[in-house]
Amino acid sequence: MLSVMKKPIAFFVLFAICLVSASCRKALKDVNDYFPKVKTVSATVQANGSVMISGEIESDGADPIQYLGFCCGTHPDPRITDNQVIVQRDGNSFSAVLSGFSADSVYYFRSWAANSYGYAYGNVISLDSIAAVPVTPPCSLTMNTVDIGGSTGTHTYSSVSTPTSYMGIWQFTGNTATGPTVDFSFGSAIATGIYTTTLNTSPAAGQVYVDFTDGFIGGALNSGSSVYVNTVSPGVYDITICSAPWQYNSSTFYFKTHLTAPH
Amino acid sequence: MRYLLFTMALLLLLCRVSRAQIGLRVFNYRPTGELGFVMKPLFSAELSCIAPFEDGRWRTQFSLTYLRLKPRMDTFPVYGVVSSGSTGTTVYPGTQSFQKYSIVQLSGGGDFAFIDKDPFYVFAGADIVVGGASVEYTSQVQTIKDESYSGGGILAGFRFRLGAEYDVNDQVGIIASANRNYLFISEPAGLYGANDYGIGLRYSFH
Repeated sequence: MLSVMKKPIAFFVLFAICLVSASCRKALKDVNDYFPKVKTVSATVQANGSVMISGEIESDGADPIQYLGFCCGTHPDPRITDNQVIVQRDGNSFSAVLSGFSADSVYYFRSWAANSYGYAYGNVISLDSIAAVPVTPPCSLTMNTVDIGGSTGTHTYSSVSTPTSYMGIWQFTGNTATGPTVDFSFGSAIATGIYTTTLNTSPAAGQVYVDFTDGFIGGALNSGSSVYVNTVSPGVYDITICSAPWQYNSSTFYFKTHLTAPH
Repeated sequence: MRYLLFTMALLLLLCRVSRAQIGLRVFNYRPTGELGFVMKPLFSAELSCIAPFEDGRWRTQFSLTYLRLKPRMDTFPVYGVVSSGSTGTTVYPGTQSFQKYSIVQLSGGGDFAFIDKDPFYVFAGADIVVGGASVEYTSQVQTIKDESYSGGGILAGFRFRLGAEYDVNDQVGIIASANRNYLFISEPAGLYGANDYGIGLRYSFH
């Protein structure tokens, strides 16, 4: 019936069958399946006015995801480059904390992902009135005044500089005409919240180093006191320290201030 | 057009060399891999000079194929990445679109009938493929590139084949075959692959 197949012929046939059947990767039926599929799961306002945004990877697509992140803006269709944040995946989840929002705008948040075939967006989530939960200090002090304790009296700030960042430390100075000069150094970007004083001149996030000079007297606030910060408007802060101890020789004095920075 | 005229002339010359045997095959061309991501499957036809197996297990064949490929998306979402010490990594979105992607290819090779039960044959074969591609595309990535290309590209590669033939009489044969194509195309440069599945008729003038 069939011709006899000698060994070289069998090899040739096998070779041909392998080449014909072992094709390159078959094309996917839906071209969108080549791209990653991500979902923007939630966008939640934090107490300090930042937004925690989370996403979920539904599919890597035809190749592993290489870049992953979020974008946001004040128009309803944010693009990848709008306030882009690139993040690392944690299994099939990913998240980021974004800040710097204004309470009188609507913001739109969107996840995105890219693999070797291209990129794709997730759904858009919008938030309005993004604002921090104000903190209430347990004292009421006159605005823009400082009292370093002892018998030095209460003095009025003549100026407070604009907070600026240097090596990750946000610093500003309050000057009085008749009394002390006070330096504040925050260990992270200033936002609404309660910070803790430290004697470390390179404070960590959530900490603040406060020192001052008044003539021949100088000192820094002891560790552990609370500093109450409220964001008045973007870049403007209301700061209160009710009664923070500091040491001078063997004596303890109590520092009080309430100021707007800058002014 | 120059490619088409050149390859048709070459095909006719080869037909004279291999006696007057012609074939016409219609097939479904299915790009795979990268080409399969970008281009849709399509139906096309090829004209060939193809001899019968009556003289033995071997035969030669030469084919002329024209493929007018259509992209699977009007615009492909591509991107570029810029990394710098001061700003870190930024991903920039972009687009790529193909306005034209046509291929003319000439294939030449042979078949070996490993099942030879006249008038029925099952065969395997291989061809060398040469040709040209006429390509138009635009590619743009925000702040990184904005380019367009319109012109030709060369094409070279191989194709391997499995098929079966039934000879209705001395002059007419019916052929079904599947090809695996491996192609290098110079614009956009890359190694591409495709499968095709088709049926055809072979006719001998003698």
